[in-house]
Amino acid sequence: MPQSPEMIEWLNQVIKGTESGSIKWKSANPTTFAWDTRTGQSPARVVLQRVERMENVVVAGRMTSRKVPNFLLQAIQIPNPQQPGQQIPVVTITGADDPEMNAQLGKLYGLVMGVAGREHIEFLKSLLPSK
Amino acid sequence: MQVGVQSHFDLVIGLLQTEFWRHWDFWISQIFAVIGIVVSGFGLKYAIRAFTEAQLAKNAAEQAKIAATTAGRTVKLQSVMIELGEVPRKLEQLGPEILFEDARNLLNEVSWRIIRATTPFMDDAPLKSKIGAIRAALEEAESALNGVKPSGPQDATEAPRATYNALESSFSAIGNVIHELQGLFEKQIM
Repeated sequence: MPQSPEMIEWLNQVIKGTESGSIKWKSANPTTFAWDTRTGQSPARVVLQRVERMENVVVAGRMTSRKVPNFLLQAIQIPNPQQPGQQIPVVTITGADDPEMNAQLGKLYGLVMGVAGREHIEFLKSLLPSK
Repeated sequence: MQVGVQSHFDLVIGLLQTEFWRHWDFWISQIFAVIGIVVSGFGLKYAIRAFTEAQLAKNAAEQAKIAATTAGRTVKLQSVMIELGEVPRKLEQLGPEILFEDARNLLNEVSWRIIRATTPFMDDAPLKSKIGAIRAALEEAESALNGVKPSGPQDATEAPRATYNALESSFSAIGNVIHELQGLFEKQIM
């Protein structure tokens, strides 16, 4: 299902915010990043994940399956900050439904990975004894 | 002395001049010969019968062995089908809220069950490719699960659906191949 232009615009703003450093992502696991934010008075979280889906394709007349990277973005509301485990998914954007959106999400994911990679390098450098 | 020799000579001449079937000892030897032939005939007949029956018994034993092997294989295939039939129900336990540790336990259980059930048929030509496909799907699922291994204990709740999102496709692939394998097993039983 193609996403609306407003959704793509919102995603572009997230990409810009990530590039500028105003949006901070943290790693939840090797393929998932989370951005903690707020909506009104209650906290919210945006989760970006890379998943690999098996897709059946016909190669030289034979049906075979291959791995296709897809990206998922989920906006979650946390109604009670005292209970962070209680979360309500409000919006889910699945790249598998829309190649254009998948490409944008992939761009964002690459950017987040790049920032995380730089932070890791900076941290590793900080471990070295000062000259 | 000459008289004695002459009498013996006359006796021999007399014997030679008489037809041999007129001698009683000829008929005794003939009777024994006939009895011998009859006994040998019976012996040969029973030997042939024994050989034929032994051959039939051997064939029957071989057929019984084949039947027993076929029956054993059918029973084995049926027990494997029952074992594999449990897998889709296990796969359905993958819900959106599943946590990493539960998913890991679930995948281990499914993997062990599938490996145990399919290993005896690894070299079975009609099943080989599907068993290979299901092993590949299990490896994919394991790889996907490693991709969502939380860095710390609180990370599991930060992205609650990450585990489900990562495994959904692999579990679906495993389920599909399981159904295909069950179809092939059914075909072998028929």
